[in-house]
Amino acid sequence: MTATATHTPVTDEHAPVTSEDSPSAGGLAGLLSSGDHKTLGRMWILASLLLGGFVLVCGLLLHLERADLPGLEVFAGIESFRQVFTLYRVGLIFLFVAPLWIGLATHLVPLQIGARGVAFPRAAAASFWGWLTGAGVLIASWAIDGGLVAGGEQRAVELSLLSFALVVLSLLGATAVLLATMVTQRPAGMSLERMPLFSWSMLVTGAVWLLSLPVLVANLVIMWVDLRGPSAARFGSGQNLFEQVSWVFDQPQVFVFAIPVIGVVGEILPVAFGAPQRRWGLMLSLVGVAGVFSFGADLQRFFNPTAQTTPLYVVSGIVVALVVLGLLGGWADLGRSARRFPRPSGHLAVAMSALGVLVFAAIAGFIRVLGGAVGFLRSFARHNESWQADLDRALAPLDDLRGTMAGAGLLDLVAMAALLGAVAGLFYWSPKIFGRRASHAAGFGTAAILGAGGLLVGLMGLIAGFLGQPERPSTSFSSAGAEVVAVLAAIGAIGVLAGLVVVVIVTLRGGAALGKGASTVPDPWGGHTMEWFAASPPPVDNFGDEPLAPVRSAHPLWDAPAPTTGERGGS
Amino acid sequence: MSEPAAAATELVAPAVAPRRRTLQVGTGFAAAAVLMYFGGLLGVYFSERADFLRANPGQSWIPAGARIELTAPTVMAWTLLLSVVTMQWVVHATKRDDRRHTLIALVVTAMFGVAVINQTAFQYRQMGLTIDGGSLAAPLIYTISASHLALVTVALAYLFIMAVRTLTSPAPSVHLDGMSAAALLWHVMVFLYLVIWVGLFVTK
Repeated sequence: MTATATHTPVTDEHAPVTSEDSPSAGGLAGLLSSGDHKTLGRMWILASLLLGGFVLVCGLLLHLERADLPGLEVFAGIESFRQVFTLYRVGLIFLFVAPLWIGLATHLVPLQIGARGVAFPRAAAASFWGWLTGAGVLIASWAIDGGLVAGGEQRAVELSLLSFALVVLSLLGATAVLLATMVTQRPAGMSLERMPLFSWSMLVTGAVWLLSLPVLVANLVIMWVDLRGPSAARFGSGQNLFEQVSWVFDQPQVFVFAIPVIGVVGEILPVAFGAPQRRWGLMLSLVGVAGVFSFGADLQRFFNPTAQTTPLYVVSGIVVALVVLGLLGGWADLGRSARRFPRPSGHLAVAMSALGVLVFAAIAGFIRVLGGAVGFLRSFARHNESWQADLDRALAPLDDLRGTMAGAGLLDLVAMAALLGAVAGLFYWSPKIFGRRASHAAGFGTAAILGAGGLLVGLMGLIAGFLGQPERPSTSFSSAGAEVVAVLAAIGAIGVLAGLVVVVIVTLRGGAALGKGASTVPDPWGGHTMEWFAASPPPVDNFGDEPLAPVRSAHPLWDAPAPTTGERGGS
Repeated sequence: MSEPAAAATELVAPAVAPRRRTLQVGTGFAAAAVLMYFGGLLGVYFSERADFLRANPGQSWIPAGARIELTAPTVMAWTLLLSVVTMQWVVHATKRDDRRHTLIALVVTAMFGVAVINQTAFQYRQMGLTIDGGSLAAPLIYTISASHLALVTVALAYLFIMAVRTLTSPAPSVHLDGMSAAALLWHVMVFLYLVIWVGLFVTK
């Protein structure tokens, strides 16, 4: 008898959940004081989705303004436009995508590695509440004429900087908790290379965040100190504020926010095919390589104007594209060992949608670094004017992409890939998160609307870049010649918002069902990782009182069980 | 636990307790973040200083009227170097369940930390450096040194918490993980000061 047999999907959808298995109750007080990683994970997810809706509305307003539709004037002036522009950038990553990953990981990583909880529950709770407070103050500071722009009210700008720092520090706190959990709370046999791909991708992502985002905090503190004086020397002056943090939203750093997409897709596909991932070590290595080449704290354009023509910048874009190509090859290889043809499911559809957008993001990144390569080649050919002229003529369109909407397009593509990946995870792990399976119809709908909308937004950004639209306009916010592109981007943004509404409804319904004691079978998909061993939803200490098996591979639930003492003695 | 999961547990062997040293690992990650934070600050400082000196050959990076004396920073560097020894004394005494030596070493280490805070305050008064928009050096020097001051305070607070946990425990060595974690943060803080001492004050 094998563990696989034990974990064949069963049909008892409404197995009773005892009071012992239920998460600790206590209403609002219970939520506020909870250190349970599952409760915290759900709170991270819900809060980031709601804040994400606000951020996406900001993005939609920007597109509508660029569309220059007759009779529609969204912003009173260029300062307002730039304020919302910076809020959209900051919010997209730090109020939406990153906390969404933190939420999913806080809920799932301990389950996946077989831990009974996170390493520092109170620090995990403090990180969530710190982030939520920081996010609220950050939005409020923008609303009272703050933000990372020139012309803002100084005290409000200071508040924006401090709240932004609080948001980043809180995310770092949650990241450190996750990393410490993965290092110290693994049970016997769960070596790092046996961790599920999602946990591994969060380990890589967390490590890069931990090493790069403190540099962002350093930028913010320098700006704040400079701003506190009677007049800013350089760092605190309005036009320099966003420039100093723009490296986080640009290549290569931006890719780090999409690395967990690989983890989610890498979890869903082997289960869909019913076959373990071949070349496991290579897949883990590719994720690690993507992490290493996504580190961008050293490529700050503000302090090094030639950062985007350095070999490191160019290589990073190429490597990320190659990594995605290698991963696609690895997943295509699953077909050779597949035990079954994947059945259409909501989470699989969203995962495929995420993968599609990620591929486009990698291509966009590759195209953008070619502009850097032009600069690099030009400096290489600086002694030959004829070569330089030839290079200029041949590669001018790529070179001109720098500082254009192409950067915004890439950010949107990466963010949308990350959003779709996180949503795929939300649907796939819905039995663990909500105690019930998310609707497949909702999954198909989300995959179509969110995927198409996200792709449209990102690709229109790229096209606007090729049309020479500046990313951060200084005098006029209209698109002057690319209004159609902006209109299409606005339609895409509406699609993304509609998809997000579906996801929020699924989340709220799931939360309501959980509150009423919903439960389902532990392993509805025939999964192979440790979280499917726990009940759905898992009890407070994840696996109840039962001891766990020593893990012997990356797919422990598909392994044959260890021989019992009697069997071993008899052989 | 539901039925399939319970059935699966019949197949398994007893679990092994998770790895220990949780506090040390967590503090290690926090220390890595702190190192990168100061790496970012110092990177900006050195980059801006190099740009300034390239654009203004012969001029001083430190604005006119400001005095960056080496005496106070050097005394601080030596004070912190001594505290490394006493911090390890704390860890050693904790490991041996030697409550008396743990207490003495903790008090001495904390005194060194407080002395550094005091000397930094003295240095600020002595420097005469103002953030008025006229100099790039001023905001950077204050940001870096004040960040380190904050780190000293955090390290002291962490040490205090671990001291309370250790000294109120019947067996101090049970809290060796926490005390070692506090020592790790302390050593990182000292290392960072040595970098600041050379980068900001010795080479100016």
